[in-house]
Amino acid sequence: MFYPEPIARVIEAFQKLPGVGPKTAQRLAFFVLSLPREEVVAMARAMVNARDKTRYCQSCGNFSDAETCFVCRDSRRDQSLLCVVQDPRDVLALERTREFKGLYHVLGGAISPIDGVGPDQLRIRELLARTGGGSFREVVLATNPNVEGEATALYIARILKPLGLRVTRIAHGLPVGGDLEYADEVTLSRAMEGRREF
Amino acid sequence: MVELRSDALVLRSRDWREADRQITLLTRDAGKVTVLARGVKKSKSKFAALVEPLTLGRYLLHRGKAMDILIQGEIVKPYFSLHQDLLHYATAQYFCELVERSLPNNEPAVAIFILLVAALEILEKDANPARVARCFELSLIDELGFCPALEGCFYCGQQSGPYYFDFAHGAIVCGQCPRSQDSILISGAAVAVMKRFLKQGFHRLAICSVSATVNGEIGRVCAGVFRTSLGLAEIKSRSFLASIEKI
Ligand SMILES: [Zn+2]
Ligand SMILES: [Zn+2]
Repeated sequence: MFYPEPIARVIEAFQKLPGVGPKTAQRLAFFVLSLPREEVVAMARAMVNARDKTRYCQSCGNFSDAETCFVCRDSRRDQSLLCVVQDPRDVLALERTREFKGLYHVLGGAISPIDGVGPDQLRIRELLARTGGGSFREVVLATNPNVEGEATALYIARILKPLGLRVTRIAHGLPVGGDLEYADEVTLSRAMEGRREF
Repeated sequence: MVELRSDALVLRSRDWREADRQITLLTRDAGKVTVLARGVKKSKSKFAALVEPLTLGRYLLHRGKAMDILIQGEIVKPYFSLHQDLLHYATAQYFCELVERSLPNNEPAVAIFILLVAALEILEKDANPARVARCFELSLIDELGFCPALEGCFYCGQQSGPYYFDFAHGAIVCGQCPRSQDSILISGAAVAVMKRFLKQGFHRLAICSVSATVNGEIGRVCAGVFRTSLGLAEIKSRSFLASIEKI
């Protein structure tokens, strides 16, 4: 190593970040060295603080800073509508649309038997417990539009249907602003399948 | 630059760094290969559908030292109907896991490629995935060189069941002859169906009636052969399949 040990350690740490190679890690490390001490301390504290304070909502599995998350705490939300997603980041994505007014349930992944991820590795038991009470009238399955997400939706539909719940799946469509001719055939045929009255 | 252009089926697809996926392909011409597909998780990627599990496509790969790189490709068949029913999906995944785990990398396996594609074609149309699964298991065992000996008792040639399937020999043994600890009871009916599967494969499988009991017996024999001959003790997608057969 050509760097003094403390700098080498910072470079090494940055390389653990996604998409950061050795060159970028070096650049980031030198940038941090050029900052005023207070800023570096604030940055490091913010990271440690976020790591310590962030937990998962006991009710829905979303990121939270308290026992329940901001969605579950909000009494104005539609308590009879539940949206099932794979990841807490999917909650944020759906919240940005401001379209969905119900509650969420985060699974923590998708079923992929070949990778050893089955229903027991996901928060499916919790979902059954939540929906078993009869307070929901509809469950929207918003897992990813890929093979694993689809299988997960099928599995959940299969175990929720006997409870007499209305189970729906979000539509598969074409990206807005895209060109029909550049869409792959799978996306196109799904979009054709999901066409509706105009 | 060494390239490989081949029909292939995606056996498995895993996230790799933020935007990439690492896929395992069973190619027609070069056997099982591991491929890095760059940038396919970005929403604008044209290749996103091409790297989904259970996709049959035509792929152009740049052959690397540790991993091949996906250059381009086109979908031949995405096996839609297998994604739309849980039992069919789980069965197809099970086939892929068996193939992935029983083949070495970069060794041509044309017969197994043809077998797997044929199995998925039949599975799409068959309302009884378990029957297709037993037939696939036996055909795969046969292709891998572990065809069980089913023409009468291994020692005395006794022609009527019930028998024991002895994993030490990969053969059936009658009740009078000695057998090893690692053997299970199997009915004459199950042996007859196994012979039919080995001889005719998927040909006219739809008219071959297989009772749940016989299916269970054959399943246990195949699981034992995978365990003893191929070292596949725990097959994850098989456990998942068993769990959804119950609900
Ligand atoms: Zn919550
Ligand atoms: Zn004998």
